[in-house]
Amino acid sequence: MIELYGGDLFIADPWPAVYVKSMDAIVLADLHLGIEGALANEGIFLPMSISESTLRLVYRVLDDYSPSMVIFDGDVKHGFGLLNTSEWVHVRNLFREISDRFDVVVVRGNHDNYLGVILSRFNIPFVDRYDYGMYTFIHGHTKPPDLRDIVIIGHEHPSITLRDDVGVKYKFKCFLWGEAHGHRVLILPSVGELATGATINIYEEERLSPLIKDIDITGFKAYAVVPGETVQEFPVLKDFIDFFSP
Amino acid sequence: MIKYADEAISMRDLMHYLDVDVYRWFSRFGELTPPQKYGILPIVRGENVLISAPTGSGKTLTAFIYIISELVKLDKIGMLEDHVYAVYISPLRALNNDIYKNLISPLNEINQMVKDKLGRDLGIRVAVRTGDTSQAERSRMLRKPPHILITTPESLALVITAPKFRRFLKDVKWVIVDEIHSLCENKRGVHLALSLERLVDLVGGDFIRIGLSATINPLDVVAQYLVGFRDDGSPRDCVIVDTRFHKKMVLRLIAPVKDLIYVSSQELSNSMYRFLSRVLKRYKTTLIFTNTRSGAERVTYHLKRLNIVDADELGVHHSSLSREIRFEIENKLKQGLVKGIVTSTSLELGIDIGHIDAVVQIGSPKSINRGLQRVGRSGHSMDKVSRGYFIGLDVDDLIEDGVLIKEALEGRLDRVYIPRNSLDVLAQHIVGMALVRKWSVDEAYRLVRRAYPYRNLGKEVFIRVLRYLAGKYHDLERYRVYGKIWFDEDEGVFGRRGRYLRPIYFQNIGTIPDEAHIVAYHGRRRIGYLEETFVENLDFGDIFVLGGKTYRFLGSSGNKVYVEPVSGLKPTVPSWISEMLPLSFDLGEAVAEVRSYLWMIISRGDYEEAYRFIMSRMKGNRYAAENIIRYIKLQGEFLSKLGVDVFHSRRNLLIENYVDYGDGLRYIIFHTVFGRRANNALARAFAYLARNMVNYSIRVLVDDHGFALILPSYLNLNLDDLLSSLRSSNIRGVLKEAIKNSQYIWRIFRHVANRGLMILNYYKGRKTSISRQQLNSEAIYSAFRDRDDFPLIMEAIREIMEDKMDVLNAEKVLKDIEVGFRRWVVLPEYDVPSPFSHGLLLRGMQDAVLMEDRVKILQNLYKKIMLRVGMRSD
Repeated sequence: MIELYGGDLFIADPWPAVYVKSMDAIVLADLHLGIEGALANEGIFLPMSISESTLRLVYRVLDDYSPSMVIFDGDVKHGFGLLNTSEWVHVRNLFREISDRFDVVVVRGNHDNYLGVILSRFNIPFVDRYDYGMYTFIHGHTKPPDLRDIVIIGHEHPSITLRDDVGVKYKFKCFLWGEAHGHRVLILPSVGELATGATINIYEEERLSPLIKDIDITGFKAYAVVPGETVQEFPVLKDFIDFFSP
Repeated sequence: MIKYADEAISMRDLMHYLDVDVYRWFSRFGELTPPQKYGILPIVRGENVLISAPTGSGKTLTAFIYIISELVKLDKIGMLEDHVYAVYISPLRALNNDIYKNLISPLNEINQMVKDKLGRDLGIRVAVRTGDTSQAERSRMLRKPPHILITTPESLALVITAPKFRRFLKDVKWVIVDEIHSLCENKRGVHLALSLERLVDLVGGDFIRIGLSATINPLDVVAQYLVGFRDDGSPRDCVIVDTRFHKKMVLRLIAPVKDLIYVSSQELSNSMYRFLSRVLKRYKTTLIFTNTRSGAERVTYHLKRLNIVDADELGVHHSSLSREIRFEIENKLKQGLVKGIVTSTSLELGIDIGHIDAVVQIGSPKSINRGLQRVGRSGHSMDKVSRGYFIGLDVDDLIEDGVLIKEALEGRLDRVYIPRNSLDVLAQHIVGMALVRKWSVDEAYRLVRRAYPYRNLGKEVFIRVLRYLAGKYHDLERYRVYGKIWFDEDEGVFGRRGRYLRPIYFQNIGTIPDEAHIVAYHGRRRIGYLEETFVENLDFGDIFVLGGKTYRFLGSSGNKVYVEPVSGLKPTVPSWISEMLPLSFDLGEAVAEVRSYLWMIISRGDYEEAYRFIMSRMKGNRYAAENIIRYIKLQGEFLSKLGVDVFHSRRNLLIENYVDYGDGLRYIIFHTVFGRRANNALARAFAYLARNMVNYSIRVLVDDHGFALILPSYLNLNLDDLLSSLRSSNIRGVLKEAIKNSQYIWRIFRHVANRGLMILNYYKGRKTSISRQQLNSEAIYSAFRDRDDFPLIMEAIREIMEDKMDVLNAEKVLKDIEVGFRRWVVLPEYDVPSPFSHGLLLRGMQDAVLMEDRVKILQNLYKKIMLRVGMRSD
């Protein structure tokens, strides 16, 4: 585990997840289950195995850490509308698999409309925010008041792109850890396979979350992830910003 | 059997074959042109014909005169029925409109002659059906079908599937394929070949095929492509009419300045425009080819600025311009109102553009056939002379142009390459077939194999495509949305499925890929669009041109890039590398031959012979000869300084080991003039092997004259081991792995997925935008990465290996090395690149073969960054 704060907040390496010791909880964000079904509705037909491998990853994290609690920090599913068939199947499979073994909390993300229908079957709380001790867990698409010291969000799908000595570009999902508006903020990488999303947004207009909208993000530290293999700590972004490839 | 036409006829002979009024109309032309002399008779006899002849030689009438005559005869005896008798297919909508006019006016004249005699009008109808045809016109065609249908390959696939229209095609007797040379070398041609076999199925038997082509080679291969095979696999018959070299040509090679290497760009461009102005003044109308759209814009801009000709008498024509603008220019040309017209490639094909007296080619046309085709646009009739000026703006171009001229005058041509077994095009057609009726697998497989590009398609692969379309590769069959057809493997039958299938097929037909466009912003203001591949290669701070202005690249995010306008700075990246045409293998070999011959005579001091050779065989001006000789001499001197006593030739393939201490990189430069397609295959295969040897991603640089592997200078690569590890027997396997680990496949796979109807451009009446999905090509490819048996992955790899690259010739080269016909010659390490490699280093196309081990990559990057961060804090 890579310690982030106070002997309590850790990166659950080698996974795109964090472990909070005082809660004995694993936190995961942005699974985007059923993305295949949503894309199929748009005329893009990708294999169903994408969500399946996302689920496998979740199970492996939980096996690895055996926490007593799991927090999903928003966007468990992908479609904005009513659940499509593939979302229904994958989301149901997930909670059927884990709801008996763990305390599960789902923080609402901007993609999570209608998710409550399934969650209520499994008696899983579905909340806009979850506060515990010094932590506030929110998805990050809104900025609610009275945040606690450490705010943990998803939503951004951060990744960094770097060039090697011959100029080849590589993109890695990453955690970002820094300070904004008087809080410590941890931005989680996406768990969903296809949701790699955009390279880290040093351009303010592009940042999604109002929490980090108007701040200098180059003071954040990055931790790059190769899921299941390793997490690599990097210095604060401003120290190597000229290595970034846009 | 393919045979050559050897029976010539005269105009008088035609009296026996043509309707009396049609003959009377036609005989006004007096003499028959060469293609008419040989081409009409086989059509009369009901044979398939391929006619290869230069523009302006009366090819179109050769194809149509007998058909018109037959229709007139039927009409006169009241037997002309309401269905399509002849289908004319050309790749260009503009050409279709021309052909329509060229048919309508003879028909009107013949009609008048008949009317004077019989007192009634003929009722022969001609109609154009393309993507531009309005709904109203289409409805009209359904009420009154044309007797001659003029269409494009895409619209043909549509009409043979559309239930209401297809019934009119049941009795088609003739099919004419025009500009076959521009179709057969790409997937549009593959697509057309299958459409023709589907039309055979609809007709219930063979129709007569007439192919029209500009200069192309070898004709028997193109003829076989045109006619295909019978059900039993035997080739259908075809008669070839070869009148390719009947037109006189005057070709000149021009170097605008004395020294192309040490000239300032200002001076070079002044001299070039001085030359252009002389040509423009001397001839009534001049056509100027630039190869790229941006080049066409630039040249036009400067010509106008310099006021050489009246701005009204100057036009620009390329495919990014709107249809109206292009029409306007074409019309002005036809009316003789234009003195000069600048085009990228779009006026290369046979649109009737009126009288052109001279053609200027700026830069190399990269293939002998294409060069001839372009020059052939001038002197628009058989007795006129075609006049072509080839201007080289760097010495590599100059040599290429000169060798092209030499080869063309000696009657040599490039060989065509026809893609084979394209599974994406096949998938699209199977959907079309399923829409029409239920098929047995064997029957459909037989149909497909009749088409030339699929003659060797394995049944097992065919079945894989059916499985893909039936949704069986997507693991979860129960989501019905994936299956486009139903496929009963036990019974061996398939058919259509789902109510969306018809609109999916009709809206997504075709083979020309839709590029994902990325929007460039300055702050919140939208500046324009960029191609995804272009953006992938941009670096922070790069300066590039967009819409005639320069911008600095700041960064990108998803489908957006951020830029800021800059002025007074030169672009650091060339625009649109992807537009450039590859040099043909055959022309490349000829270039290597000429370079080594020139060195042989120069090295023994026989400059007189060198001048004579360039000026008489390559038709060079004095400056051209001076430039070429100086360049070759410089390279020879460079080599002797390194202690190397061999020169570049077809046999001796030199390899430079150049280390740039400035950027800390080692460039292993292979001098192989095989054209970019074959070089690409060799480059990536070597890069993959080198990557495995040094455990580092290898960047490659490729152009027509060679390629380079780029790695950090601190890594040592054993070149002998590398060279001996790539063989003709393993290159395909190695290349396949290299391609799977390249960034190049991301985009190609998306194109394949588009054609194979996996990613639709239009769905449920809406245009789907890939970039709107926040889903880039990399993400799409990664969803399929390890599915080697998935037909669309197989196709992406095949397309890259065989169409985009030239693995066949790469194999041949390696074989030559194995048997000792060629050899690698490795030069000692040096810190200056040789003159011959400057072009590659400046303008080469870049890509990389990536390491697979993501953890190792991450660690390397981390080390590099920490080293740099550490250094800074000191």
